Amino acid sequence: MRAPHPRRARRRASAARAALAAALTLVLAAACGGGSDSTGPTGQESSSGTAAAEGGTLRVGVPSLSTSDSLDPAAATTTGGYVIARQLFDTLVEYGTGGQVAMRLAESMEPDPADASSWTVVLRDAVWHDGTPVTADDVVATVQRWFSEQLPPASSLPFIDPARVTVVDEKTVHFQLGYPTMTFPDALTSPTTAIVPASFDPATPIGSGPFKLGAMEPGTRVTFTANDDYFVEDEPYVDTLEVISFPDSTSEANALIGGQIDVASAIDPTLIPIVESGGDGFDVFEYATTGTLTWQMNVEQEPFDDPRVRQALRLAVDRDQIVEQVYAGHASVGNDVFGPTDPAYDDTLAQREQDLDKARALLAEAGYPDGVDVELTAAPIQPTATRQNEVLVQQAAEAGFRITFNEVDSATYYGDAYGTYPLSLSFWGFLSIFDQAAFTIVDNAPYNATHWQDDEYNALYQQAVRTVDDAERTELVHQMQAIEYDRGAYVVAVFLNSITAHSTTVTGFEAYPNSDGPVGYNFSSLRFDG
Amino acid sequence: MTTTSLRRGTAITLALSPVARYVLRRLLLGVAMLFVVSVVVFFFTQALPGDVARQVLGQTATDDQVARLREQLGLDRGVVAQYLDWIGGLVTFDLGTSLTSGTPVADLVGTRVANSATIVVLTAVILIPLAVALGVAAARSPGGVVDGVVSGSVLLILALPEFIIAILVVVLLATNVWRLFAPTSILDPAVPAWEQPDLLVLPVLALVIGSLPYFTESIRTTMTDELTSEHVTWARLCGVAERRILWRHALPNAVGPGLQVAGTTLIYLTGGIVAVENVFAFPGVGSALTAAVANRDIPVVQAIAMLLATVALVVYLVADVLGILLTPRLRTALT
Repeated sequence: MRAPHPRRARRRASAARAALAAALTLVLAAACGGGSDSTGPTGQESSSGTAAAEGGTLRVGVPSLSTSDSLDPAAATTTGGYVIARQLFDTLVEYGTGGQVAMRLAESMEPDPADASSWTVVLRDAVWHDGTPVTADDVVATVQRWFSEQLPPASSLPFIDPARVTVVDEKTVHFQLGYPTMTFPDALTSPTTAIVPASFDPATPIGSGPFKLGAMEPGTRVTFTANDDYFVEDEPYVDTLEVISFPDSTSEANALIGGQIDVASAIDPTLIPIVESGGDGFDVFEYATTGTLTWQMNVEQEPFDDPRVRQALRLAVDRDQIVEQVYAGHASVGNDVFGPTDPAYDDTLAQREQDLDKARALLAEAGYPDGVDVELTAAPIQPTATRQNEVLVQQAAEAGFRITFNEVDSATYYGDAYGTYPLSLSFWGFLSIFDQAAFTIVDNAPYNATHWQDDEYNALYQQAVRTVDDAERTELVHQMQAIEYDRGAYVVAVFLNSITAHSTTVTGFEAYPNSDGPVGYNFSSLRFDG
Repeated sequence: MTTTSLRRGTAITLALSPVARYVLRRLLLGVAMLFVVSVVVFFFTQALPGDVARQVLGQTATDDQVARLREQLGLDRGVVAQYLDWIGGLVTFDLGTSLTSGTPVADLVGTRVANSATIVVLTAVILIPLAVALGVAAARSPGGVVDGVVSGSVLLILALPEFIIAILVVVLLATNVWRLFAPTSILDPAVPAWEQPDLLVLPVLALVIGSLPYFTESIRTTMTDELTSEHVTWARLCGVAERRILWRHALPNAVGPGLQVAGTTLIYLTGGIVAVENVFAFPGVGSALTAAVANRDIPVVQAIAMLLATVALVVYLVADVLGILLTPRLRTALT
């Protein structure tokens, strides 16, 4: 073949080749960029290398930050808001590494020995990020702020009367309560009750916490710098903390294996093999928590208005199978009562097991000899929620529950229809038994989607929260839990494990079984270690 | 067309060339369409179940507080009043304020738009020449190696959802098989995306792989049609060399349809990268849209939807105009 205009044709062809070459060069250039600089654009490998035992930049992945993350702890409602609150601020007390109340910004917290009608809090020596001391005045101002109409309701603190919180001396605050209660310390563990300076401005948030705020890119990344004056000795260990958002824990695990982050927090149990396939450089830190995806049976509607039907569903559930199928073994079975780390938790109640014959008999007794139709409404509020619901549908079918699983998104789920679903799944836990009851069970609990009310239970609760003696109080709590176990409206089938994957260069992980979030979002104890 | 509008048309002809007149008409049509889109977007987003006030205040909020926040955010006003407010802002390039973060929508999505634009443009720059080269090569020798590979891979890749391609790319090139590239695109927000090219490789690669077969196949079909058309057969019979036939007779006629395909692909890339963004944790406009829908941050949803609609209209317009300018048959048809 002979072209009449060979030069022209060749020029065009070479133009196409040039374009191709340019494209390839672009790809190759990018490839080389990735290869030669495997630490990523921020180039933190030197600081996170094996040489430095202290300092460095710790990159922690979380699923996920949001543009609604608040810098104001009292307005925090999101994962990101809680993460931020834990770094910048301190609560008076926290649920410690054993899951029980431990002192944090408070040095001591003591009830009136007679009836817990008042509490005295003594602060430890601590300073704000600007160097000024944390005083009793700040605590009083913070408490008054909680009751501001601009902020989410202080519904976990009905016993606090902001007008009767007084300064005793520079480090001591006295709380005269609206009614006596032993739940006072429990309620002050939530990151939303973090203490802020009297002059607090959320735009430039100053706290007493282990980290100061660096840069905030809403929904993407938050950077913190070490607070060198933090009251816990040696903490924080790292100089800089970067909290990076991932849409889900799969991309988080990938980023860990690819060396883009040092810690992949809150990963799905199914990802553990993926992390393990990444080689020797990665490890998993795991512990049992009190967090639970619990089914809520609405007692205001058929069929769960009948306690026998509620018991039937509880007996239809094969808890061990859920632990295996949904959580690949990374969860523990529940017994239809909350708060396994609470000192008053009754672990003598017989573990409830699947009993299909008994479940069918109870359904028949309740007037459903041919089974019953139920609609389950739920949102993917946790990575395992959908699978857990699907397994329930299968298990309950064997006992005669024909469950239709109606999956909606989270905003729809918590929308106006919340509390009207016959059967639903919510995420609870990380509370004391008293607080869980105050939120979801007793009297007019604001988030009681079951609407279950029991006079005997309510009376026991009121008596128990006023009982200062530990042994007596524990006995009353056991009676409360026995009632829930026999005729309550929650199916507490499993307690979830907290699973954090990390580079083996990072150490200092501690279990916080009753705190929301991986390691309770306590990142100040993490450090790079040879 | 009535005589009046014909006359008006003639009046404009005095000042404008046929092509300019065509562009003007398309622009006006585009603006009208954007208004229709704005109505649809606004009322559709309003109809989403769930409530931003409840999202912001958390599940612990009381009805009183939700009502108070709704009032603060102006959500208690009539839907029409809200629409007029919003559209009034849009025409003055005020996208409004995010309900969840309280920051201007433009600040919130600005970086993300730039990020997404970066990978879309990079993908197009690689994709278009590659697809044209492969498509032409396949069309020139039907039944040849290139043709076979193109036809085979079209079926294979069209059967794979975008996110599967993205996951395969990660497994192969970033985590399990080889660790050549960064598995996720966690861009440093302080630096422009194009200065972090190592974080863009895999999303761009996944997008190229995902859209190459369709694009190549379209070019191949168009070129095959041209190469078997009457005028090409006539040219062959006249003894015109194959190379000259390809470059002078077949390709110019294929430019118009090719541009249409390129436009479609670009729009698909702009709007359809949500799945890829999720796999790579890429902070782009798609994931911003997903998050905004989840949070019921309606102004952000509306702004992104309008942006995507505008981009689609502009791309089609440019593709059409270029197609007309480059295709003699269409160009002359305008006058």
